[in-house]
Amino acid sequence: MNFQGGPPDPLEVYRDLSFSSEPHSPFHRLAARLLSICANSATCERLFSVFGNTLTKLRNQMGTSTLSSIAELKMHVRNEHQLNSTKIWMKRMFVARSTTIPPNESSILPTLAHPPSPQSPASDETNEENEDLNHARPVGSSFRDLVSTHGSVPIEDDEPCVHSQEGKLTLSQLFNFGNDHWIKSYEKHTRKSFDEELALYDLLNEDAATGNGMEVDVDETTAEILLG
Amino acid sequence: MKSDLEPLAIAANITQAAFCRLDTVLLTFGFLVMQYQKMMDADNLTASTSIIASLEKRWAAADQDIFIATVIVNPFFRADPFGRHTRFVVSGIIDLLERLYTRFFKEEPPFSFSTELCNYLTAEGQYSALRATCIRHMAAAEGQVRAAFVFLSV
Repeated sequence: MNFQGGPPDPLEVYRDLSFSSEPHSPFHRLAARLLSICANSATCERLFSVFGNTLTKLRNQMGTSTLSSIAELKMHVRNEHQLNSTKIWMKRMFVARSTTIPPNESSILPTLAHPPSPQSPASDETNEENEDLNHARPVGSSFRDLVSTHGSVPIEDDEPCVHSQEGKLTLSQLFNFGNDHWIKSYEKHTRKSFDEELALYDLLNEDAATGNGMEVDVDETTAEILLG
Repeated sequence: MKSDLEPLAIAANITQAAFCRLDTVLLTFGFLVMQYQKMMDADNLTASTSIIASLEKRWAAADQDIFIATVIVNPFFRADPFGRHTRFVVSGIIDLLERLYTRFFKEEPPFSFSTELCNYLTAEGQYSALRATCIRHMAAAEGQVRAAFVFLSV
């Protein structure tokens, strides 16, 4: 999903230039692989903070399976809100500053504290290989599989691979600073997202100054929707 | 002070976004180096040199092939940002991407791979509409679809 005003998605260009009925060409496959690598761990960290916000002082007896189910549910609710009505109620909350509490995720979730959990019965077998994964067991077998797959990835990474033989380039050798085409198109989008963030801070400050603002956890997607 | 820190603030913002691709990271690095190279007057000399040195240090430790390849396969940039280094002539790029193909898919790239890549780099063959498509997407992202159609029909 590309919000209006965001940077264009390169994979959409590939999609437009290929036949929809045919499988992706080898080059398209490689490009898709490269362009879908995420360069930071911000999304995982956000997930951890969702866990932190769910397991509060008042709800500290929760088991791992309930906790992960709630986090999952929270993400689904969030997605649906983003797709449907976020823009409307975010605007209502910030712009009109209505005094009623908006139907945000945290007010819905406590009533749904017992969602069906896809938990598999935890088995007692222990083996040396995944001894340190044992604490993750009650969450469900799919999560365990995911963890063990990811656990083996670093080992694969250590396998020797073919590197460039010509040695490495420094950044100043690599780039052509004389060509301002890429600089302009890069600058346009970065500047924009920075200005949007500043605008959001102004908006929040204004809210705080009037005294009736409430504390809301605003991430950048929300900010985009709000200012878009 | 503001001019010293602002590029870094923008860069942190970009690289910590929910969807930050590898090409964005490399272009951010390049952009930072360019900005600090411009700030080489007496007041900023120490700060700029050490920031550039620190960026170069991180970059030297990175798996450069993947970052460079991601910028190249991004149709909005291709090899445009890169300097006139022998590595960025068409055959050098083919070599780089074929190496990565083998690394990712654990098999030799088929013959059609290099032909397609050549077409992509020169915007010919099945990629002859590449530039127009890019312009259309850029314009759509800007919310100016109409303007692009006018531009293309000229």
